[in-house]
Amino acid sequence: MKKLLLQGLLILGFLYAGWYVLSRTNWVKLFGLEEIQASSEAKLGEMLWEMTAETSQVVENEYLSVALDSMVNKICSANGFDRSSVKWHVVDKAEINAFAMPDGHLVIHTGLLQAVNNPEELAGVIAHEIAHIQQKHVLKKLIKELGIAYLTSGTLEGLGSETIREAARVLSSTAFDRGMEKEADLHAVDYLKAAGINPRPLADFMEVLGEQEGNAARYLSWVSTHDASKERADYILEYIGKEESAVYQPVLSEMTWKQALEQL
Amino acid sequence: MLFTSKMYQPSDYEAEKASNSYLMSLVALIVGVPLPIVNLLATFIFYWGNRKSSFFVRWHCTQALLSQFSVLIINSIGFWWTISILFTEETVSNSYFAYLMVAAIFNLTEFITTIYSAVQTRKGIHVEWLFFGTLTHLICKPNQ
Repeated sequence: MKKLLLQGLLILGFLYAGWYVLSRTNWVKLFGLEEIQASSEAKLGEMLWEMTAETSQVVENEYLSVALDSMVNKICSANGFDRSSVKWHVVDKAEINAFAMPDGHLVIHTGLLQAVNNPEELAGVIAHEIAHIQQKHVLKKLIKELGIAYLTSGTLEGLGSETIREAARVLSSTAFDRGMEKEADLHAVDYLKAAGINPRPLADFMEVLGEQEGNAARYLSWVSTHDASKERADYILEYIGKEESAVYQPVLSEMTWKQALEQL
Repeated sequence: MLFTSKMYQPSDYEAEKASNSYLMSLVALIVGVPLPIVNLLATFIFYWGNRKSSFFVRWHCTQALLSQFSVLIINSIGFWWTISILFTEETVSNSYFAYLMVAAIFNLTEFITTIYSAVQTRKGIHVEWLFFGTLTHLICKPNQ
């Protein structure tokens, strides 16, 4: 019996050692899968944004650009992200919503801009969406909902407009799973802290939206796709901790924020 | 690792039957890939048909059957890992590719060992595999 166990362990040991040694090599890079994935993601992101831009009115506002660029730059540079990895767009829609698309496209509805009480709340939502982008949640969600075809097709030329429409619907109006949401919330807090932006307004915004959930649900897409807002506000506050001594500077000057909103 | 011995001289009929048990798993292995259950079923049917044969035949049928379990486990893990990549949020990784390579090496080793065992047993030479031979000794006892 002892001989049998030793021989069994020997075989298992060989298998494990072989697997361990081989897994040290970066096969994904060696087989060029990273490039294929990146190019597919870029094309898919472009197609989805084009479709969103065709079906909605894109808002182009100089003051808003300055305000959003300032927020995104702060978060990216403080956390070591490539600034070009986040491409924000504002569309004229009353729904309170913001969502990330492949290749770092981040769509913000004017409804959200009008609903936030201060620029820090908006920065919180943006940081949350940047976390989804950085953690590759967007692709994971698409693969889960629609299959691996997006990544393996390479060129994506075979994808019909119906499929693209479905992908856009999945990203803008269905939820990430709770694990991903929590991960994005907590990463958002880290990003905000690193950028010197007060993370508490993110929790405040969640709480306020959570209270309004029953009243005007159809305008609160960000709530319907980011459920249990009260619970989330609680764990965000718990994660932030007490930090009474922390002093944060305003993310934007009052004037910039006012001018950005005036032109909506 | 294999151990061979010629302590017992089987008849030509016995040697052929014992050799066939390996050939059966070999053919089924080719047909069955990537569905690992096929080779196990084929070997099991052959084993069942020969469960009342001589000790030499039974012993080799048992060793062939047991060895198929390891292929079943290794290939099943690879199969379901691939399925999870295709249909869930699991993504391809270096660990996945390393596993596929280890599985391929294991299958190839099993393939070569099976051919060698089939040839040797046909000559009447007893072949014992590392671990599976020892396990077979525990399970398969000579007729009283």
